[in-house]
Amino acid sequence: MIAINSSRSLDNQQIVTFHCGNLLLGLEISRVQEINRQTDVMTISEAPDPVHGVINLRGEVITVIDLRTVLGLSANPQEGMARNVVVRSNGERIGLMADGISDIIDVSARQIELTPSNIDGIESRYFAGITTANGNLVVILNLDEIMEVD
Amino acid sequence: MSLTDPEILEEFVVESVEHLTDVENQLLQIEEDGENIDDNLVNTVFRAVHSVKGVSGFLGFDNISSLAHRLENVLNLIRNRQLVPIKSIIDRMLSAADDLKKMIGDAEVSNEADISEHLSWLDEILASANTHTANAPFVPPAVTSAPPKPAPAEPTATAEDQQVSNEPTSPVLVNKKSTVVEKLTKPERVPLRPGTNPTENYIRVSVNTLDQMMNLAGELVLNRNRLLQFVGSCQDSRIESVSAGIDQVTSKLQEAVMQTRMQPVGTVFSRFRRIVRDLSAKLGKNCELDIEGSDVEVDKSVIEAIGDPLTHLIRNSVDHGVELPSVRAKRGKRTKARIRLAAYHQGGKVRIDIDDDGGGIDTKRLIESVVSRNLMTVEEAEELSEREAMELVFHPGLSTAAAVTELSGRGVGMDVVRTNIEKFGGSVEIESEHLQGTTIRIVLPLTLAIVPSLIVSFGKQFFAIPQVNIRELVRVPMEERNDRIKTIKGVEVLRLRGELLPLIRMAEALRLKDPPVPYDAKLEIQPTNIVILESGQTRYGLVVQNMEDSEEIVVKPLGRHLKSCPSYAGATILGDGHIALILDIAGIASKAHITSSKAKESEPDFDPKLERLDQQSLLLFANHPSEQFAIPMGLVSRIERVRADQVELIGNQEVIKYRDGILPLMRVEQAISSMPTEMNNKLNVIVIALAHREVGLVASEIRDIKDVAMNLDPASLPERGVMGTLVINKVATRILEILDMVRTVHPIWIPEQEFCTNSHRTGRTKKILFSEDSTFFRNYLGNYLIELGYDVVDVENGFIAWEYLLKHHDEVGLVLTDIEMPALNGFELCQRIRQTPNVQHLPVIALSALADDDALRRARQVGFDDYLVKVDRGKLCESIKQLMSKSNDHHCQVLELAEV
Repeated sequence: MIAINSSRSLDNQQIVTFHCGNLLLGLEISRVQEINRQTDVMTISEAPDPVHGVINLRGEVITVIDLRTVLGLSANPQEGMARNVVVRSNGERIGLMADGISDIIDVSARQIELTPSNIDGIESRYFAGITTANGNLVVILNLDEIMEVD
Repeated sequence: MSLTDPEILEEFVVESVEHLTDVENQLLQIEEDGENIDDNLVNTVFRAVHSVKGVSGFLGFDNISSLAHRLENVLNLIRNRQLVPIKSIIDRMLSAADDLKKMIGDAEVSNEADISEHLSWLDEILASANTHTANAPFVPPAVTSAPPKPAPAEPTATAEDQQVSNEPTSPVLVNKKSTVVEKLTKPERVPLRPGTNPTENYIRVSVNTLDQMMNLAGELVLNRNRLLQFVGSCQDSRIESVSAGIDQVTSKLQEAVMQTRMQPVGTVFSRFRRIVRDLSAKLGKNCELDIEGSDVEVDKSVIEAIGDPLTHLIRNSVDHGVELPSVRAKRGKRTKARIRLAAYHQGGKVRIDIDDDGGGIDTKRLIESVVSRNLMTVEEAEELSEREAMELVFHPGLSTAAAVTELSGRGVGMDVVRTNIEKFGGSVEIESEHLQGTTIRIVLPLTLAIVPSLIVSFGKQFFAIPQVNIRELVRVPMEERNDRIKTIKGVEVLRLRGELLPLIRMAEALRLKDPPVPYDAKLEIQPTNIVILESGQTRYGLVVQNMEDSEEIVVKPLGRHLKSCPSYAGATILGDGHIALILDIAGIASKAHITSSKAKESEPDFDPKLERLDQQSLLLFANHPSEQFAIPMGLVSRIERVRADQVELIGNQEVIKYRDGILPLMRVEQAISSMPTEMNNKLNVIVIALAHREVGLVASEIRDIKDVAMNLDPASLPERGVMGTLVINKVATRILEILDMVRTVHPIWIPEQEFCTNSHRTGRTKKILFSEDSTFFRNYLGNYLIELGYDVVDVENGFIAWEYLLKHHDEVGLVLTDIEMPALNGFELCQRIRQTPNVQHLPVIALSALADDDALRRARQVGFDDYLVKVDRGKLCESIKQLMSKSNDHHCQVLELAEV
């Protein structure tokens, strides 16, 4: 039993899904440290475009990136629904602004398909794959590429 | 066997590096001990090398293992008194240890390194020792096995496991503090029994964890503050006592966390023994390095920052500072040169001195070298004072060493050293006496993690400006804005004491968006706040919207996406949880294309009348709502707030207890005609220091402190005790003359001023040359001096004073000068006097509106005899009397000599 379970868990991934513009995006749960409502950022005018600003995360000053700008999505802010998805990247904590959290889904590797060359005209390098959850298309992000922006 | 687990590899590297950190100094100490072998010391090194051998052998790093093995064998011979550790042997061991460390640092490719030379050297040492003591047991059985084999009993041992592994010679994690070399000779230092292993008191903690702890402690402080606020509104005493407990613990916790980051400077200093030894040998010099204050603790960030600049300076001392033994012998010095490296705490900072008793700096050669490189004209060079000439050492691209050497480069570097040290808020000074030696003094903050800063704001956004960059704060009132802020060639400039400073508007430079507040007409009439900033050679004014408090901020780095922002050096979190970005002063300047602006630009249509009005800081107070008085801030030592019932009467005299003594009080109405003081429950006592005593002036209401142009007309002094009248804050204000007031009320408090008596001593009157650009003060003080019986020549600026002095130097007995003056300021005037043979003996007194530490220091440097605050006539009189008599004595001596 145990052996079967562990093999399944190796195969399975938990994906955190959230809304951004008109897309449902996903991130592997191990990359996400926390999700909070800290969306009141201090903006830095000199910063490159995708950088939304900085926030105080329990005494640490972390950069917050606006996913919509990175992906070139249209603004679709829903009052009060916005969330800050804090991820780890190269030993640094970075926040991603999302329009709202959806769910955590279990998918097996077989359910993840490679990305078509583009989705809604967005560069494919930002995506790691596509899957479905409750009939909705979930676009799994390639976090390292997202973090490459400057 | 190859190693794949990076965690085990890292463990090995960290641990081995720790074992070998001090091996260098330990070997040097062994060399110094010579035949008097310190068993404990040799054992320590032996064990360190042994444990490296063991683990590396197990992990398959054969090169590391076999080199460590050879070293271990040599150490064993030393330990068994079969080998005397002479210099040549230690040399080879040092060099082997160096490569051992290098290989450990790059362990994965260590097997490709070529160590054959080391092996053959060490084998040679071993063989020669063996032939001498063929019959003696060579090495103890425990470590004889030639091919490396796994030493630790448990292959998977972690660092902690190894500390307590059952092998008797297992690694000992040496207490960090005891790595200080001076302590090495103490025999009881290294415990041999595993039970008393000092490792139990120390564990390794990653810096990341410490940083995280510091963040969390900071957050805890914020939460505590909120809690205290909340508790303040509760009435429950139990909650109060709990919160008081939390308050205390939080503060202690924060302190303790800061303490974890402190390290002794010895960790940097210890490496210099080797550097001095090797460098001296290479250059044929004979130097010893004295280290003092190794245990002075500073923050990790400072330790990291000072390594390179210090290395440079120590190398310089050996290479350029200290002479060859033959030269030293000729100069009658001890052939062994001494370099002293000392650290101590001084006024909340760390001071590091590097002294050598070498040849000193030859300023003549410095000047020659500057001139020959066309960095300065001959005329400019001649103008330099000794101190300014010394400063040339920091000129980019300059060397005094006769020959360029491989080791200390071409003398480029002192400028880099200074720039680097200044970058983190430190300073470097150099002092040198030709042929006697050089002292370099470095002053550093205790930590770079905490920076005293001024917080400024724009709307709801906060920014921090490091205090080290701030020269002064200027407020330009609305009325003066058009006069003082102008646009020249499209650049906004501020007129500040005859100098034009480029202005940068913070909101524009940082492209801050307007805060969402409705237009406020009040903003228009508010004064313009300008922070005068300096970074290296660049100076400018930053126009800010609001100035908040000064705070000690904890520097936090910005994420990698923000590294490219030139205007920001980092961020911090303020007491209320807000983020403030730390401004990069140099970055903002270069973004705005402001470069070196230190050279004074003078304005074409500069109106001297506007600037020469002497600004004086005045304390405004009132005893009755309808009467406002002012006294110069320079006279005020402090303001005490007391209850009316604290005022006691001794005879007719009102007094209060003040510090350890009794302070007599004086009321304005006692001295000049004015309304009586309104007595409230509380009153203010303005403590004023006279030449001989302190007196308290009673004030029922303190109103303001204001910088005011003193364009008084002294010719119509309205009454004794009043300097003049001015309209300040739209109220007619009498400026009080304290000395006259005291003389009216208590004549005995002020010793009768002796009139100048020099005329009958020398037969002729020596003049006081008085240089002052403010007409008011020139007349006011000039008349006062004449009243005292002196002969006074007053001039408008330093340059006129200088010309007068050159022509009439034999008539002048004392020079009294303002500091801020056009053409030639007080510092420059004094400097010239001190450099010119027939006037350099003259007493020179500086007069200034306010005395800050910087100005005082500078005054001492250029050679002022005294530095006084303008409005303090009592002290001025004292000082003149004293210095004049000295000057006359000097004159008498000269006359007597002439007669002889």
